[in-house]
Amino acid sequence: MQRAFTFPFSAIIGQDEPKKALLLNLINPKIGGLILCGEKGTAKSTLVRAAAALGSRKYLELPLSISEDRLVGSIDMEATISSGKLCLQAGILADADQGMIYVDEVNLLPEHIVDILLNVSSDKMNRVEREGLSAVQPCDFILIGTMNAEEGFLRPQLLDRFGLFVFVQSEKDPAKRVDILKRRQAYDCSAVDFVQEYAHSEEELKKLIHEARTRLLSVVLTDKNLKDIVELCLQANIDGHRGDLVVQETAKAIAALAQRKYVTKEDIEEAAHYALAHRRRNMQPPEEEEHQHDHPQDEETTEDETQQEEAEPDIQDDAHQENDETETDGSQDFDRQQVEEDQPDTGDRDPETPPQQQAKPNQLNEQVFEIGKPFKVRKFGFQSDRKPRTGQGKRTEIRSASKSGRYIFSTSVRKYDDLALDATIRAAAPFQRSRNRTDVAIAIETADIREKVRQKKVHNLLVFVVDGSGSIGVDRRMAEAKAAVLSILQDAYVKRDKVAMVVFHADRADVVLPPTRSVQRGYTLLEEIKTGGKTPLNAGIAKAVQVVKGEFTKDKNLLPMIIIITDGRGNVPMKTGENPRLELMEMAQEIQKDKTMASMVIDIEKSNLLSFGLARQLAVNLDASYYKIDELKSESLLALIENERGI
Amino acid sequence: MQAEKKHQYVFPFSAIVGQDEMKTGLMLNIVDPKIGGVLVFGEKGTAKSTAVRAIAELLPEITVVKGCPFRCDPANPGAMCEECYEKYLSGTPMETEQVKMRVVDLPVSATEDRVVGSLDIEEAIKRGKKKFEPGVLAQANRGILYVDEINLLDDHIVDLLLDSAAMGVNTVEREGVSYSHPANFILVGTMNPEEGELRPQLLDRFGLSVEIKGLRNPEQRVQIVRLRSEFDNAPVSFIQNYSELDAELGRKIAEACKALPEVQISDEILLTDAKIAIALDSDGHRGDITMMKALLAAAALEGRKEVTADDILLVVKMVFLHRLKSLPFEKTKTFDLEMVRKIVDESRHKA
Repeated sequence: MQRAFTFPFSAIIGQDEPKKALLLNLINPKIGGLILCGEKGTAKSTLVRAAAALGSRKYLELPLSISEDRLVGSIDMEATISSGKLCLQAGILADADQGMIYVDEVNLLPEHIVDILLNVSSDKMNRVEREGLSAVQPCDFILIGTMNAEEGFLRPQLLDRFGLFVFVQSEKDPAKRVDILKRRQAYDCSAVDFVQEYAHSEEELKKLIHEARTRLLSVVLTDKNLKDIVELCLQANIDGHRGDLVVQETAKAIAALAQRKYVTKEDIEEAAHYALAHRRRNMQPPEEEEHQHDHPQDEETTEDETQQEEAEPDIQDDAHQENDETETDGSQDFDRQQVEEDQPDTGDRDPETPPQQQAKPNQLNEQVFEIGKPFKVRKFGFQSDRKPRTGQGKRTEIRSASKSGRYIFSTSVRKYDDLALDATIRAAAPFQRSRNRTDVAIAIETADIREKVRQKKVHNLLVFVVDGSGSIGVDRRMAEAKAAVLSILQDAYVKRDKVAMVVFHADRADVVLPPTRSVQRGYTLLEEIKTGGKTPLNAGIAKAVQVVKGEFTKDKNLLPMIIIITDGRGNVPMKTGENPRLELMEMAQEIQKDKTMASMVIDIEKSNLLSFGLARQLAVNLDASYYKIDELKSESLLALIENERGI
Repeated sequence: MQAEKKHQYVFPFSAIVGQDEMKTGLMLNIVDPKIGGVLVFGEKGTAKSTAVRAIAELLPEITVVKGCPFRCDPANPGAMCEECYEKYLSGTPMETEQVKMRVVDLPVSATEDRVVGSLDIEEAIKRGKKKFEPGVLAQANRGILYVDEINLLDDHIVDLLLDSAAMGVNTVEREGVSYSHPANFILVGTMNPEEGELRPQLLDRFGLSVEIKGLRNPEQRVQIVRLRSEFDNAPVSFIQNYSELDAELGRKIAEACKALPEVQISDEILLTDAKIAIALDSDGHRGDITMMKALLAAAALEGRKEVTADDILLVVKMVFLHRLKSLPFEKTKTFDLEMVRKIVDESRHKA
């Protein structure tokens, strides 16, 4: 469908940075595209479509539902059947040569499509090798993407393919917002008239772009310019050389747009502002970057930017800084020491003999701790596997055995009776001339039949086992434990995992949150967890296993994980008279042997002379991944978490 | 036999007790489909689905290009399917007809090909031709797309909805088919938040949201039970009893649709709208744009030609409740109506 009556570029109010970045790409395609990142409803798509209407390039939109055969190209069923020869039906990529591809919500694009885009954009060639067809087509395009980081960020490789990166924000001036409202209403009332009204200014813009394109050819970079560019890129601590090239091309376009044939230092700095933000190794999702564009867009911004880059030459340092921020502040640190000095004996010093001072359950000295400051948990979880499952969720991609899920490609292996009609017909097409076709146009034989291979994401079930005993109340450990749970919960929220929560304290373990996808409820309950009493860790873990087993009977495809947050100092056996610690380790080994669930132990014991390392022992017996609570926050350990093994 | 037949009877809209906000939200959207739909969230058994089914009976007639499978609007070339647009460009006169706006269901179990459309199997096998068979999104153009339990929808189906809801166009590039057609629909979703949240992207696509609770007033509850059993026992006469009221509502909606283009909104109100959007710190501009549209529709529904400051108080919560910026785990969002009231009062004083 054509896009007649697109909202005109010149009618968009504000948004100077994204506008300029788009124009620069129209002037100089060598810049290599652009990604607009920003909150919802900030006219990102409107900007891209409006810009496309100004350019002379072919413009294509990639729907998220695109299938591989349409992207790359595939056998042309109609032509093949009638001619009896293999005919190629070109895909979008063949069309996109010398054009512009736009992907809205680019962060939601399926992985297998992203892989193809990456390959093609680096080779500048589209190679079709499928269904007996073989073709190579030139394919050089500008990739434009828009996204909202709320549902996850982009893979660094894909991010790097975009020449420029610009944050888009909404207008904060009420008067300007009124203008926006009025224009929007005028456009909605009659797009035809509205577009007509701006036709002249659009023509002017087109002329401007055209002139700049011509001028671009004669813009020269001096050696000094090149030196400046290289220096800026070095300071920004970016990977690879693409950044340098992009800054160079962008600076040239800026000069051309400003009707100059030479490039100034300011041009280069402005170019770097657009070209390097997403290439720095410590690139973070927008929240952390937001300070950048609080400044009005002018030379100062770019200078700020540069200084800032100079100021953080070492990523490690930066990461540490962040850690320090997530730590409790100084005064609380002081409090903690106070507590430690005042009551060195609180808590269960000997895990094997229940201490005397433990109160009876009915006279518990219960306390409620606030939730500590959450931190960002990096990717953890299960590796994508090929065992077919049903169910849905976001964290783990799996091949789907039910007839639902995204159809990614077809196979001649028949298992699920899930006919891929398009592929079947394509397979049958070349043989139609030689087959007996009465009543039908296509004779399909068993050998032609293709099935769909689907992929969908399944839910993980995260069962938190939270220690609510008295010892956890000491020295703010509960607040930190809560922060750890909250951080994982936030991650679970984004990934749409199921969560459940078991809290153990005093003489019992309770399932305070039965398995649910409402992470919100988990949060509310988390706040209310009380601490006090003994540490029936064993019962807590037993309860969690029970929860997992229960869910497992309902849904065989669940990927369960129990996350135990404890100092490991369990002191209540399940069977009276048993040694609680031995019982715990035996139980752990059994869980490990069972292999139904993965596990993770988060140790909240402070490392000092008095630490017992019992949580670590528990982790070893469970074959669980083990993290000290402080480590979980640490950027340096993120790699470790990412290496989490599958189930 | 009896049971099967009963299925066809729809509980009348005007017989639904309470839940005014939900009713208003639905009606505003019908008056101006550009508002962007409504998300109804709340406990089970709060007449969410009943209301959507019921409103189908009140939908107005729309002018469409005769025979066009997408029900293109002859007066809106910007949102036409290719065929109609070609006719428009060449100046070929288009035959039109009046048809009732429709409600199209998107079941939670729907597959991708049924949603966006796919290769027409019959055409392919019988004639060896590639032909596009439109899916649910095509049917929903210029109508209501209703998704019950929208939070349980598969992620990749949600992605499809995001694409179309944002662009008003459904682009299909799959299974050998390459096609695109207009898909402007009023997205109506219901959900029970206890079963999981909605993805933020999808949430934002909804123009309005309404939180509904079971009524706590014993008298009203008794009335609900009484009406429901009356309906179940004798649906025909029950519907008959309410036909007058329903017809009246239907007329009101149809008139509002006609009057909408003439409704005016003052700069002061727009400024108030913008200030509220900024004060509530909602993401982007969709909040104030939606409010503007909702205000115009509300005034039209009341037969007025001018939006008043009071209209703001009627729609503001529906517009912004789901747009309030919040961390995923902030406590239950509370909507600060007092603050809005203050902003409205201030602007009144100035005016």
